[in-house]
Amino acid sequence: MKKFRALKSVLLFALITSLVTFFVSTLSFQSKAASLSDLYVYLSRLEANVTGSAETLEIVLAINTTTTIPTGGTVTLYFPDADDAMWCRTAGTLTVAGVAASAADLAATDWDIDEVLPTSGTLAAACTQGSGGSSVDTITISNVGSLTAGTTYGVKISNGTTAGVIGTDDTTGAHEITVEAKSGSTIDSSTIKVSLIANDTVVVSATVSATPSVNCTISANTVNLGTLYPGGSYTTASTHTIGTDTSGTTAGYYWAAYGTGNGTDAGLYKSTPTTYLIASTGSTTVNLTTAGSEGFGIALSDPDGASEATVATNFSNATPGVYGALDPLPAGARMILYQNAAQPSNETSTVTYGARAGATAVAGAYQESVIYVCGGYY
Amino acid sequence: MKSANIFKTVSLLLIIVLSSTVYVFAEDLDSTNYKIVGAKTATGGGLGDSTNYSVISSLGKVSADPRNYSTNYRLYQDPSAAFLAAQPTLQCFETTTDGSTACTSGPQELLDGGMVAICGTGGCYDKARFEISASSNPSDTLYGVQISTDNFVGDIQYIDGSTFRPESYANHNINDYRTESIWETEVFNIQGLSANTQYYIRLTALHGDFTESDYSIAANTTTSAGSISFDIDIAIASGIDTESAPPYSVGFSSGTALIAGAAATTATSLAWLDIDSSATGGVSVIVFGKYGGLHSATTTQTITSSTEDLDVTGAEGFGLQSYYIDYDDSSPYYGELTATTDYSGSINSVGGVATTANKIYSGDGPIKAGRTGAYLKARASTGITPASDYSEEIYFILVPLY
Repeated sequence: MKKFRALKSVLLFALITSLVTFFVSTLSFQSKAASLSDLYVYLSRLEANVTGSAETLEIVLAINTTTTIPTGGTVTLYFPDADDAMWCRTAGTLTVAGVAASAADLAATDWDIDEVLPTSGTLAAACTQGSGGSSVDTITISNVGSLTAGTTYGVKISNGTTAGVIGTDDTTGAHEITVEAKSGSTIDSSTIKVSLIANDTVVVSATVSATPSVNCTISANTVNLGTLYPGGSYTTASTHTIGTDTSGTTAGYYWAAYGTGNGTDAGLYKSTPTTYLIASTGSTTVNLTTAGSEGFGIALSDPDGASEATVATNFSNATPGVYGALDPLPAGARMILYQNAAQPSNETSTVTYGARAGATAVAGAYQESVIYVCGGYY
Repeated sequence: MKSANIFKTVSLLLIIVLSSTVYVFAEDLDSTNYKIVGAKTATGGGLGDSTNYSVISSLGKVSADPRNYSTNYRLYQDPSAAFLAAQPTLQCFETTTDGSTACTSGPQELLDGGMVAICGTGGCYDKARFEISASSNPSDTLYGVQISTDNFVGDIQYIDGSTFRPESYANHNINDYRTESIWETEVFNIQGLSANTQYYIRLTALHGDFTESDYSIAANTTTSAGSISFDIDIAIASGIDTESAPPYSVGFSSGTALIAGAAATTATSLAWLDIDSSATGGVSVIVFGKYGGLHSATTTQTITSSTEDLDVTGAEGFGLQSYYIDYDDSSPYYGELTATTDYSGSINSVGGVATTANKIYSGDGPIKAGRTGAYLKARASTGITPASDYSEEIYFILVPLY
């Protein structure tokens, strides 16, 4: 009996000791929350007052916990108390998906997402609105799998297909967001700042102009000066024009001309024996009004009078019988007409040819090929 | 009778449990249950008694506890104190000092400019530095660090000697005792703190088994809330210091209009960014566009943006090219701001502005007074129909890496 009483006392002692130990240890137990080791919150828009409708917001969250968080937990974003109903514009279910990378990743660091946020079932997310003091907007991701300390996980949150709508607060400046990874009594959390600005957008506008061009025309390709008589007066012919128009950003145009003559000098050339050249001599003008003179040249009318188009000085048709002299071959091309301005509509210049045979000129067929060159200023 | 026994047993147990937390006062020198036998003192010392207190005093051995002595007098605690390490004090415990510091052994940037010089604008939001004043302890003395957010009322943690992060008592062990040299070699010897939070720390010294000193007087500091700012400006190439107000717009028009089939054009205005962040990991600056290129509602054509060399024959596109980067690099603890490869081209090589996000700038630490400028360049091919309403909306995003 004494043994039984002794056993009862021992059992009672053990029971009470256990109770007291439990009581004392329970009183002294505290859940120790650690800071998240690494974290970023990537808002797809930094503009204040993104409403989630016309402009939408996506949030990419990258977290690396200090503590291994057991499976079945949550990841929650808590927004400032003063921002009620701004970050969670419409409470409800959100779209959530793990992401393995984001543009914000910093390679080879702990801010480089290692893995998608694991699930314990199917990830789910919802936002709730705060109201009044000590009640804040939250976004909670649930059914989160085990989070291993030292691994950076990525997840993206966006508007739900039906109800949940997220946005940004309507005030610019820094806003504190607390991010918490929690499962049971295991909690890692950190509070970070994001900065909202009044306008996060640069609007770029552009005018595309048509490809610049110049359109050049010659109305006829042959000119017949008729019969020249050795020692006779000069002959002239005005049977074709040159026309010009520009498009796009073309800033102007030019015309140049050169002759072929006998290959050495420009002019009307009789290429059959006995050869003879009625030369377009000199580098300025040929005055065919002088008695006994001989020569060949061209003159142009001004397409637009006193406006932008300009006939080169030596090729003006202002003085009858005086023509601009041509030089041979491309190297001898001379400017005959130019305009330092766009020419949207076609304008023309009449080309007048003048020739006079000297007394020593050989009878026969003469010909000159005048080559016209046209181009634009761009 | 049984109830009386149970009551006695419970009472005994509660006395045992509670007595472990009861302090032993001077009167316990000769109490009902305890007695110090054969206590001896040096000359000048001795036992003294009053009605309520008994005291043993001695000369020649003094306490190292600074709370127990003044300039002229020191109180000896008990004989075991002679074997304990001297109680250390905290030379500094800082997070946000700016321009000066009480620390003496940290990096020169800290000594010259305080914690702001090594943590960035506003100071440290997640870490701190403390230094030890060893008192009379030798250099191989080990120190343990206790940390609390409520001055050790209910929240008590320890600093891990390897990770330098707070840990629970359950994880605290002898490896968390480090020499002053080891503690102070680590620039940020307390990490993993919460932002905008007041922390208290106190130290013990240990120099041999059973020699741990009492805690030092606690010191406290408050972590910063973290600092971040971001701004967009539009200005010409010389507008390094120009600040402009929204809306922000850049045009390819008039003299910089795009000409179908012509060479690439560079807009006169650049997109400038102001970047400042104390985030430990640095920052990522992200760019993306609404259309992924210059889009015309009139022609429904888009000059698609991509990372490319616009000088390649027949090229067509639109993009950004970093032109200017500057930041405060006065401290090696500040981060470096760089343009990513795609946006670091020369002449007319550009990085794309797609509808998906791309990183244009990257910082690898706290960025102070960051300023970047980027050219906008475009080229239209002959297949683009002329119109005056080509446009794109470019979004710039700053992501701090905490």
